[in-house]
Amino acid sequence: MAVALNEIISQEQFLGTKMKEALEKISTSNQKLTE
Amino acid sequence: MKAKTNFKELLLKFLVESTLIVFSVLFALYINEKIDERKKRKLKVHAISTIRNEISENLKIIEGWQQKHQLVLENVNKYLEDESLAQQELFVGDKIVLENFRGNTLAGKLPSSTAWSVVQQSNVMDQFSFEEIYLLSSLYNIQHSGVEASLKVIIGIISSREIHRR
Repeated sequence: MAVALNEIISQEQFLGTKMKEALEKISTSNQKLTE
Repeated sequence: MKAKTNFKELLLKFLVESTLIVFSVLFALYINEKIDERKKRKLKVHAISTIRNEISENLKIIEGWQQKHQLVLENVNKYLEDESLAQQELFVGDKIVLENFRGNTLAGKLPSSTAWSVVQQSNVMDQFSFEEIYLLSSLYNIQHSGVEASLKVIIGIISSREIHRR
């Protein structure tokens, strides 16, 4: 159980980082489109 | 001589009119293309802003999960270290009280992928660059095959018969 939880917490951290990166990138392309 | 001049005039008139017709058709096509491009651009702006909102919401959900799972992990470790405490706090009679170590629920609200699915099925998709499609596809893949799949495994463990035995 603890191993599975550790695994999911690290996956959540990784996903969170990827989400922040994606948000930054799509905000930039949206800005370019609206210019 | 006069007939030759008339023919030249006619030919010139024909050429000017033909050029005008061709030019008007091309101009109309160009305008149409520009209007279409503008419409698609507007649609892409709308699509991107919808996806951005979805990812922002999903990020909030995932951050909430992360905090919650951290707490659950601390509880699990606490009970692993002190078995008598686990017996005392986790069991009422022979039944395990899951709420004592995971709260009301382990996941609660689930992250969504509706906006991305809708965009994938619409004609606005051809406005997205290869890099944008790659970025979003990988992100939603990690969401589905990574975190959501692992959560199902944990829920499976919690629901298993062994966990509910004293």
